[in-house]
Amino acid sequence: MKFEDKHIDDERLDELLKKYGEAEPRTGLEGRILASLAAERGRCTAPGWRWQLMVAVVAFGIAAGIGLFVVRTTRKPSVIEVRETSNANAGAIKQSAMSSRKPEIQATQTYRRKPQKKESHPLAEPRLEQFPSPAPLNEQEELLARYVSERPREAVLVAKARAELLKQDLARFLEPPSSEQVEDLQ
Amino acid sequence: MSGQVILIEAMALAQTDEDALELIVRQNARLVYRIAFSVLRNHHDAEDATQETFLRALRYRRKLAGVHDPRTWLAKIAWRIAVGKKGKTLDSGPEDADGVISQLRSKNDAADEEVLAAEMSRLLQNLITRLPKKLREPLILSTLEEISTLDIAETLGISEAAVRSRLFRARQILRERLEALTEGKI
Repeated sequence: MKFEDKHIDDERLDELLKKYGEAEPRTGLEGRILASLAAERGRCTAPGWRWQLMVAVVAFGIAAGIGLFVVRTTRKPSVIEVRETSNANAGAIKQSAMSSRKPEIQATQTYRRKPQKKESHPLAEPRLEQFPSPAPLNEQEELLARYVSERPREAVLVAKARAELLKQDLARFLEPPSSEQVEDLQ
Repeated sequence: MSGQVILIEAMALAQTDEDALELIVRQNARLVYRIAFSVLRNHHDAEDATQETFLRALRYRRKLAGVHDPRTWLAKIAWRIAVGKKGKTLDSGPEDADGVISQLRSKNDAADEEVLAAEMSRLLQNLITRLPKKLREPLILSTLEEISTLDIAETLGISEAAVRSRLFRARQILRERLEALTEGKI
């Protein structure tokens, strides 16, 4: 082939194109292809880790779903219980307005439930074992409790005496006023 | 009896899919490689594309039973994979043809036929890359002696007449450019 051959006829072009298309693979190409095909086939047929992973993910999903369902179903009755308790105790709370723990009862009476807010955050609210929730004793109450536990008999006697006095006070209060007292008032 | 008919009969005799696939690999590995190389112009990439072609054939081996001509089917797959691998680089600008011509002229003094042939091949590749895609694709496939005009038509999804006219035009352009280059017009 001489570069000076300026005229390119069909024969020459065919020769050039044939050389252009000539390419021989490295030896053992078929073997390599067959090996990769066998490997691919083995990968497809073997019980691979993908299946195991898929099963584990599905199992985890089912367990999570069941767990969530159980949590929700156990939460709902507790909310209802609180409502019922609050309604049932409402009358009792009103009647015991004279007791020593007045501020706590008032707080319970003014308790307002916001259902939507509670439903959106059901887990944020602590579950109450007793309603109304017991408030810590103040100093005087603690002293009284200690006295009662240390000297129960005396405490009973004191309580009886105190009750008697209260009864007398109440009877005196309910008595119709005497004519002298009316005159004094006038 | 043509090679294609022999292949189909051998496939019918093959006992399993694996046997059929192995037969196809043995019959067509070289063709697939040469198609890939004609596009990629790199042995390593061509071998990768060949492996990928047969892996794809393995994945779609159920379709193989309904394929009229497995050879053309594989050729089409190989072509698509190779063109996909080449991607934008197939359409990118070729290296400077003038540089190749000057090298050719300087090496002409040494009269080294082998080096000249290699350089001429580079020049041809350069010119083929510059051809429009419509003309380039059938021309590249036509450089492979195993592939007929009908095969090219089926691989590219065009009519046989279109293949012939495009080949004629591509060859004409190539001849003109080669002559112009060797005369120093470009």
